Amino acid sequence: MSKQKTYWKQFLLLLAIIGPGIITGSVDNDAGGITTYSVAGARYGFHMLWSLIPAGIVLFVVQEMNARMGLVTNKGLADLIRENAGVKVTFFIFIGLLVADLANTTTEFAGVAGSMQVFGISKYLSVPIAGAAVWLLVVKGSYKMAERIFLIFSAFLLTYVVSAILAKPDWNVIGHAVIHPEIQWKPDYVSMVIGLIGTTIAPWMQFYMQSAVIEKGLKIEDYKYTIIDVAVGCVLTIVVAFFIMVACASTLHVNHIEINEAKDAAMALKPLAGQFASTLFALGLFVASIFSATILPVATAFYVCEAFGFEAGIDKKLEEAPQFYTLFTIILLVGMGIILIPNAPLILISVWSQVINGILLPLVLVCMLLLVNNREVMGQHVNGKFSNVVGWGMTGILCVLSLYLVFNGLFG
Amino acid sequence: MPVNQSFYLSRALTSPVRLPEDLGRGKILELLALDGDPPKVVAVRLKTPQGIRTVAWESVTLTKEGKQSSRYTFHFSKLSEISVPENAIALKKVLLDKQILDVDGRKVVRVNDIRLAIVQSGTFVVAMDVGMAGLLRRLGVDALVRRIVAAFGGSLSTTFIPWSRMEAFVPDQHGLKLSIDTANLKTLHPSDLADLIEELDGHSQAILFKSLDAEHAAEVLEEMEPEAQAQILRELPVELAADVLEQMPSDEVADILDEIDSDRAEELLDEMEKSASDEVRELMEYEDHEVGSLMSTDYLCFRDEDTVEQVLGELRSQKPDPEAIYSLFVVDAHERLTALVPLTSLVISDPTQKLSEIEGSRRLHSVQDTATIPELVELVSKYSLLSVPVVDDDQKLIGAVVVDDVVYEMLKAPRRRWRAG
Repeated sequence: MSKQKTYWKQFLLLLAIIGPGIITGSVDNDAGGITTYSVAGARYGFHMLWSLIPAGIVLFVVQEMNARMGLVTNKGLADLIRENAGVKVTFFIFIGLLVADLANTTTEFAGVAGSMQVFGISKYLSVPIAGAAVWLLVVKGSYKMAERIFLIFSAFLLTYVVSAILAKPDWNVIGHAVIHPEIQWKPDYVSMVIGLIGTTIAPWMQFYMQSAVIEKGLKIEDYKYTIIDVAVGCVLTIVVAFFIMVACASTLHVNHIEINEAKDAAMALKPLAGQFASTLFALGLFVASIFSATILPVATAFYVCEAFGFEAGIDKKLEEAPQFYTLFTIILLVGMGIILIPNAPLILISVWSQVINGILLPLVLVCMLLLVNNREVMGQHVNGKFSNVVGWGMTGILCVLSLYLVFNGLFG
Repeated sequence: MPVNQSFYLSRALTSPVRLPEDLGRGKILELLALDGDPPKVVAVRLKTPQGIRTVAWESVTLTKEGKQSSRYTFHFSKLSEISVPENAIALKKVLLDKQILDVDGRKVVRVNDIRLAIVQSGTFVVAMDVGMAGLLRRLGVDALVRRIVAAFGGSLSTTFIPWSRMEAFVPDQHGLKLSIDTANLKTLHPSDLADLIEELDGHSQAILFKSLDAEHAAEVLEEMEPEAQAQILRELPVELAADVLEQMPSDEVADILDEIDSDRAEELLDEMEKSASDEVRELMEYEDHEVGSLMSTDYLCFRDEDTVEQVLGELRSQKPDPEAIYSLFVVDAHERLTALVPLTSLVISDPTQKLSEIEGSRRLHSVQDTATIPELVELVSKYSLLSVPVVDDDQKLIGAVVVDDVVYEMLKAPRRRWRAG
């Protein structure tokens, strides 16, 4: 009886603490992510599924470090980088992140516009309404309220599971492809793998994760629950990505339909898997896009303010954190504005945001690993051997892959 | 405390360092300061060709290439190893880039740079640079940006939070958070700010001064040493300086204007309101050694026909300083000084009595405006006076000298003699 009670208590505690990890993981599957997974599924069928496993491990290791740093130091990643690496490194990283995030926010609104076009709604209507809703939620809402809505959004992404099942995939083939993938050593295939892992861990996420842990007011005592939060978030991310790829692979790939955008996938699903699957796919894209269009500007404003020492946070009132809300509003407006320009060069914007993210990711990861191993910062909670081996190993590989991606983006 | 030089921490960390004799070139890695108010720099961690050494800061001199340039060279005349107390503040590690919080724990800004001043008694941390200029300086592009901004007719603003505003250290385990109550300089006590401003060089003084309103600035200016006052008046725009001077008692203004060159003084007087400047001009005509140069034209006096009740009522509403009303000055219809009524006599008198009827009016101690200061000093010390009325040739009351001003003169007198000898 009493044992049951403690379990119940622990479960309630867990429910109170989860949030940052699941939200950060879910935002991974943003408009850009869904596009990448859809294109990968359509082009290579099930032979790209294996790459989700290393992507998931990297995601977990990195996010766990962020959560731990946030819990121990009670400072954001931007705070720590500014305080330990000085102005020059900070300035370089944040100018880069600001530009990349502006481009990313634009892509998110492109996702909003695209998904609504599937339902025949003009982007000149959908984008301003979505933007206004996002602004109100962040400026007028509290962190608690925003987090609840974000968690509902996260749950919504599971619609992709239904889409995939409606596409009637062949599970035997899938199982075989995951265990014995047909890895092709061609530039196209390699760059798709890089793109896939790259979209799973974007530089800005590290900052958001750490700041969210702090804004939620979590302490190092909450570590074991935070770990569960991070793990659930990673699994959820990978599961959703998996089903998006399965949906596209078992319909578009089989019928040799090439796509370039996530909304193409939603359209193409209609004759192959039915109206319902298509609608769900588009709805998932819409939710993911609007979700990320909220988090990205928030995260960006958050860490720029941290770096320069201004007050920040969704919980703060407009007059308490003027710089934070101003920056948030500007990013939102610019992102929306670019989408509303007729014939905006969206593909160019998306390529460049990937290139900048590619340059920044290794830099941010190296900063993170140096910080998480700094005893003056982390005390007894520095990285263990395992985290370091995985962390540095992954960083090394990602550096190489990102460099490849950057050169590919620039000269490919 | 005259300021010899002031510099930013970022300059110290990036400027060339010359070591004594043939030890070659070095690099400053860190400055170590004693935890004080303000912190005094005692040691410097140096990278030398012979390895990293912690040496005394005393032997450092600073040269600047050209007057306007921001290129410094730090010269070490000798390297004497020094052991630093454990609680010394490592400026770069502990202060630079750290978060500044207000009293409510809200984030305000970060420390972009640290301003230090070299004065006779040592090198001190005077203020935290929290402005854009500090950030650009750290990036090494401040000179460039300054030139670009200047080309468009603007100027780069520097924002400081003085060290005295750092209320408490909140040393968490990973660095230091400083605490200030608000980002608003006006809540600072004038004399604190005066101390700080004296320790800053002319340029930043003017910047800080501009952030105060005229009345507040006047209070601060009054508290400062004469050299510093003159320095401020040279740096401030004429209109602003005139506004500040109008808020001050005319005798103080006359004293300050005596210190600066006559062209600038004339310029300031012209800019001031006529009524205020006329009074100052009159006072400035007195020779340095005359009582007139010392007296205040801001004094209380009463008509001999006033009743005790009226006078008490007047005093209640005016609330003057105690030393100014120890004895009340009484004048007749022609403004001639007729009596000095001690406050004690006033209090014990019948409310309906007129001032002229009060018994025990003090002997009439007064001085002529053209009397010399030593004469005044003698009078004050002989009769233990707290305030002395000043009269002109016709016995007309034209001013007053309070004991505070005289004490200053008494202290100054021997020094003058010593200097002359």
